[in-house]
Amino acid sequence: MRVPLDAADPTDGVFALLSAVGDGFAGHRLGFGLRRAAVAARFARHRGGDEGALAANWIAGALAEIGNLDVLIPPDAGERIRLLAYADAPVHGARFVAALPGMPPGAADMIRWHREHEDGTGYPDRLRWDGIPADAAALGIVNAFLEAVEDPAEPREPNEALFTLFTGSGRRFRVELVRAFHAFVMSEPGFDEPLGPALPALDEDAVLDLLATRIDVRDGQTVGRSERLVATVVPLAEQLGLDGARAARLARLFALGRVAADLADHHFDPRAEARRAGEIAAAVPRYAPEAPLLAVAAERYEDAAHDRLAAVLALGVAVDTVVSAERAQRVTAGAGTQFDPDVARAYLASLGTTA
Amino acid sequence: MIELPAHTRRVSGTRLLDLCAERGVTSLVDPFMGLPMHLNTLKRHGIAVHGGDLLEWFVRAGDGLVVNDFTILRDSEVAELVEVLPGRIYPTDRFRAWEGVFFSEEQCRYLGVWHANVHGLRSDGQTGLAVVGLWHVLCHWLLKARFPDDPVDVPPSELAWHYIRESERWVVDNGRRNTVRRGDFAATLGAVRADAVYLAPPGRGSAKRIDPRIWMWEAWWQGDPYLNVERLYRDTVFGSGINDDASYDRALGAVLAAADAAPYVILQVAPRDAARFERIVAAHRPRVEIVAPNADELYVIGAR
Repeated sequence: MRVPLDAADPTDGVFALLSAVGDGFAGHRLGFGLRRAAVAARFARHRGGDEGALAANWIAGALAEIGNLDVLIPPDAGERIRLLAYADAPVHGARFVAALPGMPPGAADMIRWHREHEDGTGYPDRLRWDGIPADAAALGIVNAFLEAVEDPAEPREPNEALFTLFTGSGRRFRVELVRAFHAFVMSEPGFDEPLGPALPALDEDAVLDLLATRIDVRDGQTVGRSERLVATVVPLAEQLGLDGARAARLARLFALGRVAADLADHHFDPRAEARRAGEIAAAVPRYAPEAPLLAVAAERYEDAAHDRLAAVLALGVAVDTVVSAERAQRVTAGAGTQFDPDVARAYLASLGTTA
Repeated sequence: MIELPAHTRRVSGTRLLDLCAERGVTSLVDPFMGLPMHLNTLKRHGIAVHGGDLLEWFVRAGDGLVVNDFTILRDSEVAELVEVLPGRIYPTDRFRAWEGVFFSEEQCRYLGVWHANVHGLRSDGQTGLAVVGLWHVLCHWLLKARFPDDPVDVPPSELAWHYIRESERWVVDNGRRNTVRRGDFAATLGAVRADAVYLAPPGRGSAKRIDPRIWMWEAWWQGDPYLNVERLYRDTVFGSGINDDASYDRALGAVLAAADAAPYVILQVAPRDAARFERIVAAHRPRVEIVAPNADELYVIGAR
């Protein structure tokens, strides 16, 4: 049963998008984070948590992996460098969430310490025993449980997944919490049904801007790209009588194309990026209408049935890869084949050139 | 069955890192370091770290995780560490006093074997890693005694192998000089200069309430199951003379005075004691700031 909502449904908005980004970087199925959020929040309530604890656990569950956004690993990095880099992911995530306005107390710290192990061998701090906050330790259990349930190589039924938790009881997980989680799963058949607690509303544009900027800086080739895209597509869209604000949002959402667990930083395939951005947007109902536009944003005009706004974005993406001096020449050459001719004409007019 | 106390102090290296980064601190000293995981975390992020403690096994752990930049244990060395070596005669009754009280006969035998093997290691770095890894085994056994049905049964040598390998994953180099020493706060603070002194001061009477997982490992390292660690603290600043808040505050004042050369002093205290510790720090530092990231974590930061 859904909990009544306050300002907006957190399972359909910017929280859900951030959660999907975390899923993408962690290599999880899109939607894994929201499932983790629902289970973590319900488990908190099962342990006697109030509405505040429920909201904090939901946010921590949804955004537990968002810190992977700031993990930068050289393409030739060995296992050790990867380990040390990923060890900081929970800290990055905690800082990200702490910087969002109005977050419930404790959510950021749950993210910071949800990878700690009961025996002191976890990360980032190697806290041990009851030095690990119970909510963070519980989130670690929920995460491990769902990873076992959704293991792509060996999906498990909840009963089997609980067994995998017992093998880590006393080592990875606190004994008392494993027992409590077992009782929770056994007693609540709908333990992983979607849940949308009342959360503070976030400034969507500000969060999308922050997200796109952070994704862009992961790769030397894309630093500042979203802002350049916005600067290109907004006036162009308005010139063509289209929605400039939506164009700006599309430009920022295009950065989602770089969200992947193992995307080497030298890898640059605009079509694959556009498809990936569409996939992630489609995972969140609020952004699903943008998904088809994003998915074709790197297609040639003659190869795809373009929405005019998608054509604007496509031109913006294409010219961003070309040095300024060559843009007019390239757009002129591609008008009618690579680019929508009307969009190309409008762009060239904005440069003071004619097609 | 031995009681495993709750209320483990949470010393977070990443939280300290945030506090250091906000203040431009690039070096830090902790004269009461305990198990120096937090110093290892700070080291990993480029902070020069120095630590001190009275318990020798903490210092050995620091040799492995703080001072050591690159030494690890090869598979063959771990194997020679965790197993009974053929042809070697071990004093297998060294820890017999714990048999049937805290541990089984087999566990006590392994404790004796490991004690001998670790003391035969060639380098401080290797010794430190082994001490930390094997300590996890002791903790596992004590937990298993409390919850016989929960932690899965793992053969001692396999468990030891796992935890030693686990410990050495965190050996890093930060290009700085990092040190640990066995001694009281005055020796540590007198020996090194740093941008910040971090203190999580021991509580009043803490030597009497020391966690068995801590004192037992010092006893193991010393090879003396009857070791009383309380005597190590008896003549120290927070030792037996601390019977009331006033004498405790004076003792803390002595530590703060010794930390005077550092631009910052960071005290991690229980939130309920914030006002009291703020007053003590204010007597030594003109600027005092309280940072409370959550309900059960509080730092009193004094600056010059």
